[in-house]
Amino acid sequence: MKYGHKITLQDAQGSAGKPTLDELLRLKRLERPDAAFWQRFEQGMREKQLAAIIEPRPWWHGAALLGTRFAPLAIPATLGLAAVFAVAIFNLQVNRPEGINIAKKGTAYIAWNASPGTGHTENTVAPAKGGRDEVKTYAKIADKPMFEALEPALASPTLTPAAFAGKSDGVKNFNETDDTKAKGQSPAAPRELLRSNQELAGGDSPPAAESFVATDFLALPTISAEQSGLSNDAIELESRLSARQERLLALADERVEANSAADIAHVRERMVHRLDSEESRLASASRLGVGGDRFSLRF
Amino acid sequence: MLNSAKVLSPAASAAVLERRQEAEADWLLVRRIQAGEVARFDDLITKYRERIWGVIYHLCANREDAADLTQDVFLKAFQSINRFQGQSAFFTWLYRIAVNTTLNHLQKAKLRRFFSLEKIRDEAPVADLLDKLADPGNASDRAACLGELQQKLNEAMQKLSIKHRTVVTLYEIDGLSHEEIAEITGSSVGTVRSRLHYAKLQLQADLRDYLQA
Repeated sequence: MKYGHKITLQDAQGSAGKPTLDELLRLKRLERPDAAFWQRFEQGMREKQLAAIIEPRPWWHGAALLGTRFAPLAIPATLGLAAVFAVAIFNLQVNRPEGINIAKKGTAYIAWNASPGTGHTENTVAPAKGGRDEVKTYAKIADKPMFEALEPALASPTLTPAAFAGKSDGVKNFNETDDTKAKGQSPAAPRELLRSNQELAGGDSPPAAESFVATDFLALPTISAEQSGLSNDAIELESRLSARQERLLALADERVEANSAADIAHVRERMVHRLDSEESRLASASRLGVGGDRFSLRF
Repeated sequence: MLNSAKVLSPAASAAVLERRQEAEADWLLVRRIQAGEVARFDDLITKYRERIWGVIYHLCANREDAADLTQDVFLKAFQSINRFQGQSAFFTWLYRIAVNTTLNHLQKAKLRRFFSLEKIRDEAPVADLLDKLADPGNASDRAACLGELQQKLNEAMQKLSIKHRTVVTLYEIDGLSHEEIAEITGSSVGTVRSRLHYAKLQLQADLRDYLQA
């Protein structure tokens, strides 16, 4: 027995006298407090009501109340805000401000002023720091958008757009030299092509090249010695690229300060000669291009 | 073709009608309170305090906690009475506050719970039931038998999950309909029926030594 000497319910009841579950649950309804309990309840209720009146509400109570009041508008407001945000992003992409260009990975540009008074107001020349994964845009075109700067070249009688792309009119693409190289021709052929293209670019029709666009050498793809045909000396030369690049740019800066078209042409000639003397770099050059007053080499 | 409308018994129809009249009376009272007669809220407290206390007590099985929580429920209702729009019955709204308040309390006090049971009131209308539950031949041990039965029943109730316990309390003890329970708990009528079925199965399994086979 569970309660000492007393007979428990389980012991007292026979199987026939046992209640059902519903009857047992009705027993729960009988668990009710007496009148004294309700008197204490009312007194406690009054105290809590008074305490609630004088007790300052937390700072977030107003916000919570406001949120509850405007809860039915929550979904439409959210959808509206999302739509406005999407339209804003779309407009930003479509109406991108002029002069903002997204640099592609693996390509960097180095440019400097070659002719004064042509719209370029800033010389920003610096070596790339982040290796091949970090791309920096060094040329800042202050006044002219990109396509406007290309218009003179496209209108040039000697350089058609196709010529600018290096497909015809005597301007050849260095990629085409892969075939000649495969055919056993002289490795000096790319140099000849470079020289001929340079002559076309430096002709009388286009204005003096305003900027020289070169590839960030650190961003070049890795080519093994067997693939590129470079000697050990050439590999060592690659390791000193940044120093050479700085020397080239310093040389160009000196010439820019002269503010003379003759100097610009001289700089260009020196650059070409310099590139001529470095076979390894010349072999990796893939395209020579002239756009408007811009002369570019793509590696 | 069967008529899909539910056919209620006369007693059920009378209960529904009574609930509707009660809801209309409550709504009138609430509108007076919202208009500024805040003293009318005492009428609502007096009317519903036992039922609200009963729900809370059967959910938490502690009479002191039930008293505190009942006071909190009426305080919350008083503070929020202006937001009551009359879209549901007032007692449904009040029950919803009570159930939510109790569930929050139970979740917070999960590790420090203990029973504090109210005495069973031996009243004339239920004397037959008590005679059946206790041993009619041993009147002196009647209180002990009922006490043991109450203890076992509360233990079995507390073994139920909170959701199942809520449904059993509202339906079997407080006598609400499935639809009203569904409105209070924010679930469907089918869910309420399902929970009630499984809760009763579990109670029968736990109390099989005390119940008819």
